[in-house]
Amino acid sequence: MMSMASTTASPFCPSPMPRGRKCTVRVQAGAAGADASDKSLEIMRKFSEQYARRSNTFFCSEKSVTAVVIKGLADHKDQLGAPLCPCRHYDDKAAEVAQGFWNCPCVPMRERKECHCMLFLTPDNDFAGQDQAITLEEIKDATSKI
Amino acid sequence: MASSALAVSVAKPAASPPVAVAAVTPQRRLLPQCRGVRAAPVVRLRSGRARGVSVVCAAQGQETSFQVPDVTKSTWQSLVVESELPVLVEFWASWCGPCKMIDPVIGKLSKEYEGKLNCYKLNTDENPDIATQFGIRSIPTMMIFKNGEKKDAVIGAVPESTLVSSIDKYIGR
Repeated sequence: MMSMASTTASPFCPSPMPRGRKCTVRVQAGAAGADASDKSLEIMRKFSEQYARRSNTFFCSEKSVTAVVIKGLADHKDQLGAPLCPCRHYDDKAAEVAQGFWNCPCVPMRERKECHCMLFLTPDNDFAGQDQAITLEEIKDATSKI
Repeated sequence: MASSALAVSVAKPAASPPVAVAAVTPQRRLLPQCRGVRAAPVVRLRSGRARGVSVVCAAQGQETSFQVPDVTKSTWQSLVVESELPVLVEFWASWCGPCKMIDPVIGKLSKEYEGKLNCYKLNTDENPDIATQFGIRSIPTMMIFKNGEKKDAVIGAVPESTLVSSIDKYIGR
């Protein structure tokens, strides 16, 4: 099941923004997942799907895990300008972003396909599902209940 | 800085993680155990049945668990340091996916060990000083305290059995 969910880019931001730049238009004020902009959520969703395919890894069989991590990445992208790993504690997030080790995809993932967030799972992992796709609706639905 | 060493050791080895520190993605079954319910063993084939088993296990955890209470910086002294019973603290964050998986397991253990162990959750974003004090890096991290001292740390969304064996070392079972 490699089909990509068909979604159009936000009409307000038809072309990708340079890294670190954020679109200032909010599509849905107060909507579910409001603390991460829809723009960043969509960017991180697409990144995750693309990277899973490229690295031959799969999303968790429990897709809510995937959704939560993607939302965490989107939050950090909004707040810090880069998708810092949401499954770690940092004494200085800005310094960590600048260093880049834990910016997703983090160095352990790039080098050894180790994702402690369980976002990208190798096929042999017991938690690996069959999907390399997740919809924006799935993410919003899973993260709105938290 | 034992916990930093623990954190470092998790990142380095590609296989065979240290005994005391369970890797986040070990090459073995990670599903929580379903006690009292006969669950089919998870087949390595990525079939729908495997997914079903995973969901059932997660659902079972959620059904039987109650909400693990929070501990904060302001209650740390009374709830953890001065606790007469051993204490397990789950260090978590809002958008940590594996934290969502381990939370029902902690809830289940909290009930099973009632009267022998106190279980709490600490939000690392809201209580960064405590997280920094104990050298938290990867989350979730579960720490066991006894007589106010940190005794053990378990990193990642490990199976219930891993937590049980760690806990049992400190409750005089």
